[in-house]
Amino acid sequence: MLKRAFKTWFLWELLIGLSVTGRYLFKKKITVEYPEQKTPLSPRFRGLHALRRYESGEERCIACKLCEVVCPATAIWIESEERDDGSRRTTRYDIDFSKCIYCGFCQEACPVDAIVETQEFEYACETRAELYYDKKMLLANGDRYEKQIAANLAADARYS
Amino acid sequence: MTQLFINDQEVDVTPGTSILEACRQNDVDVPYFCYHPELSVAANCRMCLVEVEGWGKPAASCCTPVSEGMKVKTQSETLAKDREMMMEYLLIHHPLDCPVCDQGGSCKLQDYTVEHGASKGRYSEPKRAVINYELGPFVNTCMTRCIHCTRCVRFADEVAGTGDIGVLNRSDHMTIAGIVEGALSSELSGNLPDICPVGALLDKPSHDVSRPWEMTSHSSTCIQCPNGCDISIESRGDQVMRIVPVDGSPEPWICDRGRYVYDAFRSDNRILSPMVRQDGALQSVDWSDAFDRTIDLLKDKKVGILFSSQWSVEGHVAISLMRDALFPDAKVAFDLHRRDMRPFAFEEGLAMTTSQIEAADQVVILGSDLRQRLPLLMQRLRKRGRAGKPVSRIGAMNYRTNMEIGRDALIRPRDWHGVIARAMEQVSELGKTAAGFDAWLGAVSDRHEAGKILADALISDSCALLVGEEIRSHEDAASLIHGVDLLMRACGHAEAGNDGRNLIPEGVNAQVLSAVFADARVSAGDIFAAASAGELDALILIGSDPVGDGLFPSAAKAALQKVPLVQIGSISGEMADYADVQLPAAAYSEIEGTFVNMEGRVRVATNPIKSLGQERPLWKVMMRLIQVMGAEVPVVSLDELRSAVCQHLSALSDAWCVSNQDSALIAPNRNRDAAALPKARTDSFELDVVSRYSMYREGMWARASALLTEAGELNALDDVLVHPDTLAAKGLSAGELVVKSFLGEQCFNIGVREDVTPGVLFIAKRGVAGDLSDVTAASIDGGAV
Amino acid sequence: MSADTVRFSEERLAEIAELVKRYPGPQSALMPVLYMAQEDFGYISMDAQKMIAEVLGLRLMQVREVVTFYTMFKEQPTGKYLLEVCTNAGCMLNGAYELADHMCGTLGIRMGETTPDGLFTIAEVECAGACGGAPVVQVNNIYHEKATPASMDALITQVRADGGVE
Repeated sequence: MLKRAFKTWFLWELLIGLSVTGRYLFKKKITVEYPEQKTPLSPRFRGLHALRRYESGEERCIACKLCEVVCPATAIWIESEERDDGSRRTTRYDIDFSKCIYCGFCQEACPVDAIVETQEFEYACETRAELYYDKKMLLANGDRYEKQIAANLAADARYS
Repeated sequence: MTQLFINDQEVDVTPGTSILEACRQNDVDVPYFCYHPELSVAANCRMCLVEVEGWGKPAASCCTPVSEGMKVKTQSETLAKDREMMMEYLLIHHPLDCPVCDQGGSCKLQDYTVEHGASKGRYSEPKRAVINYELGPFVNTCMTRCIHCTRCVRFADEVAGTGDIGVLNRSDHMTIAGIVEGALSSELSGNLPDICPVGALLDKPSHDVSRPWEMTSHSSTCIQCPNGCDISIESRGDQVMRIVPVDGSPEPWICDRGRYVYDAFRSDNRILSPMVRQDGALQSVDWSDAFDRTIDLLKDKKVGILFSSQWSVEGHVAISLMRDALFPDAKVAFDLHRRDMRPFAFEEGLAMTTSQIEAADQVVILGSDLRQRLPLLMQRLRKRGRAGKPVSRIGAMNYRTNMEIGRDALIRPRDWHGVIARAMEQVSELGKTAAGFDAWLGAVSDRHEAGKILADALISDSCALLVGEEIRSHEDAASLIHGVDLLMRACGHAEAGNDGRNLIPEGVNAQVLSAVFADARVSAGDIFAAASAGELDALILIGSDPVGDGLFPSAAKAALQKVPLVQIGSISGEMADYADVQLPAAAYSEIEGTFVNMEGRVRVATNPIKSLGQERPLWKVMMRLIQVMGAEVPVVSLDELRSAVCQHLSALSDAWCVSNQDSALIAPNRNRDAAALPKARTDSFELDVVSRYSMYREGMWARASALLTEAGELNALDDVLVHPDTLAAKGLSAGELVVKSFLGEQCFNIGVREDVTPGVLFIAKRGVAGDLSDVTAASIDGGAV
Repeated sequence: MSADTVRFSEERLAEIAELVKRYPGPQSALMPVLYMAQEDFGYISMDAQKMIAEVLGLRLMQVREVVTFYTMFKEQPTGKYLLEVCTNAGCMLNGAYELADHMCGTLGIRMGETTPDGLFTIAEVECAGACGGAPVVQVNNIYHEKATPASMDALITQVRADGGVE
């Protein structure tokens, strides 16, 4: 009874709370000041998708449509044709990022490492339409992030 | 029955069945590649190994017949090991390119690898690669993927009858190859990708376009020929991607015409919205504007109605309801290949099923290019030929059949009377006669020796006559068919149960059409003549193209230039040049409907694809037309329409409720009283004109398909053909020659071919020599001016 | 050379007609007829195959399958002396590949080719059935067992010296 009155009158719980605050006030700060600072990302980070090319400049995607069928959100849309040189290529490769759930299944399903998820996550935009990426945009992503993608794949290679 | 045990389960099968078939009949799963129920047994994949108790080693079940008390095991540890080894062996040279292979997802090799194969291959030496070969316009080859099951070799040999695929070299160098590059000249070539268990033979038109798992399947009936095969129309979204045969249907194959017509579904030739001619060009408008124009053209006018047989039964009955409600006096025509409209003693339709024809003692083809006309019936006859049963033929051209025809006679169309008379005389000598023989014989003075072939065949116990287009489109068809009918009666082939009188119809639903339009039908030529003579104010064409097809192209052209045209249909075709209004009607992939094939087999399509554009089922268009024209709409739902159908054809009343549709066959019409006597010829032209039915270009659908058009060009003959003697007798040589007929003098490029009967002018390409199709006789009158 | 110019002589045709009678069907007579063709024409060209198919009433593919299956039927003209080196297991272990390489060197041609003078053709064959005498080289149907580079060189030199006379 007395103990309870003491705790009530001297705001004991509050002090305990403040002591935690006080402790952290003097501890080393771990807050990252985004966007000036950024947290390190795992090589397995699943961000914006990209379509890669071979070193020769030939696009990797062979239009096998495995990513399309494995996609749980049906965010991928592919159309394909036999190109004049006899190889199988896409004529359309669209990803709707407003549907995508970033599960990474497409990357896992891809037999030629064509569709990958980059560590890029800053692509917010003002309309939904801008989240609809077509083949050209995805290939451009690939060209832009190729170095990063290759490094990430190499880093992750021995675990996969 | 032989009794054996499969996995300790007691089963009974007919003696001589193979173990594999016994397993399949009893739903026991045994893996296999080279076995195919329709082909001979090769036993070269060794995948179907099973264990038989008491036998030292596993047996290939496809080639081991069952024996009494046999104890078969299809699952055991040894077998699992054996299968794993077989898979490893088959995969040694198989490329790991499943992601780019169209077969991926529906591939037996892939499935069995998952089921029976090891997770790793031990083979690390170089793999071999094989050069591809050309297999015609429909088959893509990737021979490195081949596992040498030889299904395609057996198919080409046994089913297609061309035999131009074979196994070359041996052991590690073994390849499957065509004999000549670009060879496969079969009308069934589209089946090769289906039977290939791996991705070696693939569908060329849809190569690299889609994946098997993307398809939704819609079962339907093919309307491209009277055989009305069961098909599965596979679509992605509302796009038709391919057409494939249905497992377990009467025909295990479908022909290239029925299969590759699929690209017509999305061609520019489709009518996808109502169109009205404004300022000389067809403009897309909405339905009400189109109907306004239609009312202007048709209200209180005299019209002729011409439609094709390619609609569903419901569509045809809706046409009849529309006629009754709006134009009760209008003439109706639906057969562009029939000149003689007197009732036939036996009307269009087969009295036998195709399997009965295959089994009959004798089969005689009377004037038909069956391979082009009914490729699957031809395939059955080929099967019959391999079993050593005779097939004879009488006709105007030595049509290519890819089989050995036992007795074959080339005759001119004008000789048919003589042929039948000769046969009549021969059977009467044997004491077989029928009332009417004498009257018929008395009207014919000629006798033709080919009649012996017919008479000899008629004497057998069961004889199937396949009466084809040369007789059906004959000017004096009714009397010929009456003569044939008398012959069949005399020889006892006209009774129920042993009826061999088969008249090959123009299209599907022939039995329904002759019942529904029995009194109203006239010859298409009569309608065009009436229109040209100013007796009609307008023509309604429902899915028909009389300029591109049939025997009245120049009459049709003359008529269409004279009167306005309301076109209702799915394909626009050449009629777009003439139409004042086009109303879109749904294609056969897009409707729920009933189809009756030439055997009388009823099929109901229940699972349509979504419409591509604004097209509606034909019956709805018809009912709407009745409504806007101010008459009372007779039916408002499909069920009501179907009860209207039953009023015409009570045999169909079960079709929509009975699950087993095979039980009820609709019999073709018989007119016992139709006694037409032969007429003497009146013209003096020395050549008879016969025009060819080409499966690649006959019909609006086929012409709208770029794939079939391409194939038709590969298979094309010269435009107009005659026998070399015909020209030699006149001292002429092949080239541009003047042809004289009722149409006047025209110039054609005439080629020569030994296969044509002397005295026949054979039109191999109706489109080019279209105008000649109108006439039955002509003469060649010397070189070009 | 078209199918019209490759023809069996009348005597040959009579012989074939007689031969066919001995078998249940004409297809059974194919092998002996192919041997005749090879004897008459030196090799079995495509035209010869077409002609044989016609003579026996077979499909061209049936003839082709047999011709390509057996290595002893030649579809291409060969040199006067056909040196067939067996490289199957027994011979291979006894140095058949080395022998073949050596012979190619001596002749100055690659495997499967014919010397420019048309005298020799060298080919690799599967088991010749004389493993006891491995390595074996078959020269125009005559076996040379336990062949060595030296013995083959001697053979080649001798033939060349004789100017190709048997």
